[in-house]
Amino acid sequence: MFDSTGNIRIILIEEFRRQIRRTGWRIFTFGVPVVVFIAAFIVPIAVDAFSAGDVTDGDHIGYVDNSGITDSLASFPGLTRFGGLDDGTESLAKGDLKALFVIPVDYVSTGHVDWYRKNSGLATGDETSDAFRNVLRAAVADESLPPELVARVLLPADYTIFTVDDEGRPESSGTVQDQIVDAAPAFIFSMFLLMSIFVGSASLLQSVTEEKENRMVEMLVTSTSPVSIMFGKVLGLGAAGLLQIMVWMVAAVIGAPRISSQFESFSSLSIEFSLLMLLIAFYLAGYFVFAALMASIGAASTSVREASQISAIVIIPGVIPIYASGLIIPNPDGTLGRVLGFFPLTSPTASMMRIAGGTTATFEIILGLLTTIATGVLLMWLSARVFRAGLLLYGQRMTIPSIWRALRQSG
Amino acid sequence: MTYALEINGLTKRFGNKTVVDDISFTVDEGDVFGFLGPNGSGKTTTIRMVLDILKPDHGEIRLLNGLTAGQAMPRVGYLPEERGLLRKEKVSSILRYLGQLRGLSKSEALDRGLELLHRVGLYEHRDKKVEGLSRGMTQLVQFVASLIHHPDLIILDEPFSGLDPLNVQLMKEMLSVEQKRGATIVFSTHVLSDVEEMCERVALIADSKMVLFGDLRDIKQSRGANAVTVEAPSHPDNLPGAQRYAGRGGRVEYRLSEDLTPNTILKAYAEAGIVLSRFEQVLPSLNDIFIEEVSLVRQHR
Repeated sequence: MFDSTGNIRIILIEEFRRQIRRTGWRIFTFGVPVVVFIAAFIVPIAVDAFSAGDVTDGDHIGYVDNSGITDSLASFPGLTRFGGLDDGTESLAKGDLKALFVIPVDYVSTGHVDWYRKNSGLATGDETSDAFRNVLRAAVADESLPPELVARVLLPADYTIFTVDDEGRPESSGTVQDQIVDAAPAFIFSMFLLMSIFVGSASLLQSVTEEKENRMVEMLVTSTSPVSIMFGKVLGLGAAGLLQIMVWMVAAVIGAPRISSQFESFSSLSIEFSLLMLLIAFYLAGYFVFAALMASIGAASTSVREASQISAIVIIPGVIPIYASGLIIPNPDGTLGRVLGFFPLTSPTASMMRIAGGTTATFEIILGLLTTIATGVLLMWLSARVFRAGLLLYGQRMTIPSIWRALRQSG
Repeated sequence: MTYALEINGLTKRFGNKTVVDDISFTVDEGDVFGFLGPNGSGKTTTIRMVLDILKPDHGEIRLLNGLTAGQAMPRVGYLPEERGLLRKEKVSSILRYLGQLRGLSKSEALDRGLELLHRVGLYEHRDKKVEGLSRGMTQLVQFVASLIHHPDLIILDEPFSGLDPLNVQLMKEMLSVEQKRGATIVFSTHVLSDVEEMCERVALIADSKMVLFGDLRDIKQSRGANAVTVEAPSHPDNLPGAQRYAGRGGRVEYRLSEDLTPNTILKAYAEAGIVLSRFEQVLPSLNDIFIEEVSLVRQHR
């Protein structure tokens, strides 16, 4: 008899070894930390270097005020007032200015301002106009309002959000910016989670169909049982996926403090331990669901192409939460988020989205996880039978009756 | 009697088509057994059932003195008809992997794999990926993979197809070594000269049914002689109905018929006063038997 446990171990190690040596897997696994590294270390340096020449903090906007509306304003940092148009255009021509604005005498009645530029590119992306518009707002408000109201005209609201529970108790969720920063890790992880699950299960599909197509599987099934082959492959590729997730987690944990210290708007960024644990749990649960389905499809298909086409049926539901993220994250406890959170093919990503949206229904997240794990176990059991049956369908056209007959034979 | 393979009443249907129909035969331990049949006759399906890749609809299979396929499989080596290995993997890695799956330790599998690669002249290709090998080389790698765990029963499906004569000879020599070690060898083919050279016993199937089974020499003798070869300094001209084929060195072959028996020929030489240096009955070739039997089955289809 075959040594099933020993053979599962051998196949596991072999599949793991092959997967981590694939160029695609390496690029994907280590590319993500490189992106995090760039965001955490390179971007701040680049921002510092380039912002020295930026329009917002240098004397790069000039203006001529023929209406006198800015007369009462204190001088703005980064703005130079010129007495006449000629002085201004001369300075613009020399490259001392990025832009020159001329406020005509009848500005208050017409709202018209002349904008002089040296470059001929599209003006829509030029932020000097927004900067000067704020100057004009302050100038108009200053005519009739006290300084604190001028400040409110420039920045009308800075929201702090409160969530009210069923009994009417409010709880602060911070500012909108805080919410975005809080949602970021879980949202980004949901993308990575899905990608890693797909990479692992697609590799499994490829491995099974290739070995079936090139008849390697005939040598394998005469060396060990089909169930050992399936479990060895599923576990080996799953372990490679787990390693991938862990590499990303380490990169995120190292990169997050650096990002939060470099970017003021990300100062509250933190990655909680419980989120990391949920990420791993949902990866494993989701992977087993998809892997079991892919192994079955691979075993029952007669070619790589046929298997790829059929696997789309399984993959499409998996990406639904990504498309629905605009609906799930703003309303994490809504019907859509809850339904997708319980459905095994969508649960891993949808649950991460719900966490990103700040769901308070922890019990439902755990229940979704348990449902996915239970489905994964059930599908693995079924898949082992389909895998065996798929090999019995060797060289035959796949039909539902033939699969059913083979399933009965394999039992 | 101990059998390396015992097949009884084996039947397999794919849909409404019966591809193997009530086949029975046995293979003695230590034998080299030829499993013959034209293309599409059911040889590969039979082999896949023996190896438990396919389940039979009816019939019983026992291997290595009464074991089921599952029990015997670790002691069986198999070369599939359709060749293929993982194209992106190194030759030595594949042999190590298959050796490990067949019960060898990692180092044993690696050592044995390299030893076999030496024997087939592919040692210097050990670190190459399979995609860098020629078709014949890939076939040799797959062949040595079937021997890596010193199997007691070696089943080869069309082992020599696509190989050049040198590699065919190399494989035959290696199989001979395996037989001397005590292994039983079963191979399917439709190249009958290989069977005549290597096998003592054969089974022939045609159109899914068993046509012939037994000792090759007995099968030939049971058909009787269909020709005689005569070597003599000269040959009589007065042999009515004789079809004479001249050979080298004064040798001729006469096709026998109802009117022309060996005795008629001997008598004609005696009457002409010619002294014979050789007179031999020629048994039918396996090729003749194969064509005759398969044609018969197809006529009755």
